[in-house]
Order: sequence, then structure tokens, then C-alpha cells
Amino acid sequence: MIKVNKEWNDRVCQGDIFKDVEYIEYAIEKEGSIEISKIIFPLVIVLTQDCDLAQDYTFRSEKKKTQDKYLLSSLVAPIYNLEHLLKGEHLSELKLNMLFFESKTQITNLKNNEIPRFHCLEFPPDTPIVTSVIDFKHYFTANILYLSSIKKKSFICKVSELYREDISQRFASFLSRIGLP
Amino acid sequence: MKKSEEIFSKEYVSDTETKIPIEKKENIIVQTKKEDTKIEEEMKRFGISKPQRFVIKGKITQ
Repeated sequence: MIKVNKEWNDRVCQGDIFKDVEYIEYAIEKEGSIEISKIIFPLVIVLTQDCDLAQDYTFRSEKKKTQDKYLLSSLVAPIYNLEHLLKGEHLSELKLNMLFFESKTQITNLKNNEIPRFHCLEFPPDTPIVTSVIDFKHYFTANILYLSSIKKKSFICKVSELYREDISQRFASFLSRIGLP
Repeated sequence: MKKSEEIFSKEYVSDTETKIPIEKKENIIVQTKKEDTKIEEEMKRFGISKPQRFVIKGKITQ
């Protein structure tokens, strides 16, 4: 079980969990018409390094000579309900069929974070989130100002430092993997 | 492990007198009745809902 912190912090922090975060798939403008496709993720976790987020906040809130530490966006990853993921149904609303977990060994390995692609998060009883999973193949960027603007209504909790570093390290390791022949 | 049904019954159903099982609630949501808005909100809160796609189309006016 992970530890979480529910204390309020003005800025966006690494490990923050937000609800209802929008991801713009595309925005097309043609002959005076516009079409925007967006996905709303029920839960996402912020993966951007906390020092970068802290510097961004400092530079934005204090008047500095440059905007050198401004971030254009923050890296976030969706969090999926474990029960949906085990059935391969977590993206069914997007009309995507995902692999389902059949064997007990596979499920145990997933829950013990022994599958590099996934990171299972079991939240404390007083946190209103069911056991969930990050799929390291799924991530996107969200504008920093957008995340800041929705923090008040969308912030749920922050994964505490040790556990968020574990997520970061496993994510970095998955991203930098080399597929050997 | 905290399961959807457990948290839903503990946190939500106990607040109401409906005591409707989770399976039935999911069916209700498919029907998108107005009175189900609260249930849908609660499902989002607990991470029980799934990612959804929305396509918005419109005319650009000067």
C-alpha cells in the first residue's frame, strides 16, 4: 500500500493525482468550421520532476529577469481502475480492446509491480480511490497553467515522495528500455 | 485490495437509502437519466469511471 498526502499545495507537484483531466487529441480548423476531439481521463498522476515544477512556480510567481525555468507542459499518466484493466476493458469507452489478464501468476506479478509496463497503486483506506494501475505506454502532456487552474476542484491527493520516486524510476526505466533481437 | 464495489457501497450507497447494487447502477448510467448525475460524479470520484472521448464541432464566427 502506498502513502499519500492530502495537504493543499498551491503549485502542481510531482505525484499529484488529478481527476477529470482533458487531453486534446486534435483540433482541426477547415473552411470556418472547427472540430476538436478530447479525451477526459478520470484520474491522472503528474510525472514531471518536482524541482522543475517548483522552479516553474517560483519563476511565475516572482518577477524574474527571464522566464528561463518556465515549463511548457507537464507530463502526466492516466490511472486505470485495476478491475477494468484486468478485464482489458479500461478503454472500452474509447472503443479499444486491451489485453486481459487470465492467469493468477500474471495478476500477482502485476500487483507486485513485477511487470515493467505497469505500476499498481493500492491507496490507503481513507483515500477515495480504488486500487489502480499506471500503464507506462500511456502518457501525455498537459499545459501547466491548465493543471494549475483545475487543481482546486480536481486535486485528490499527492503520492508521497518515496512512492512517487518509485513510479518515476520505473517509468524512466520502461521508457529507456532496449528491445534486443 | 480495495475494490470498486466495496468503496462504492461504503462511501456512496451508505449515504443513500437506495442500496442498489453496483451492477444496477452501471445500467442506470447507460440510460443517462438526469437523476443519475450524482452517481456518475461519485463514480468519477472513486476512479470507477473510464476515459471518455468527446468530439466538439462548431462554426467559427468573426
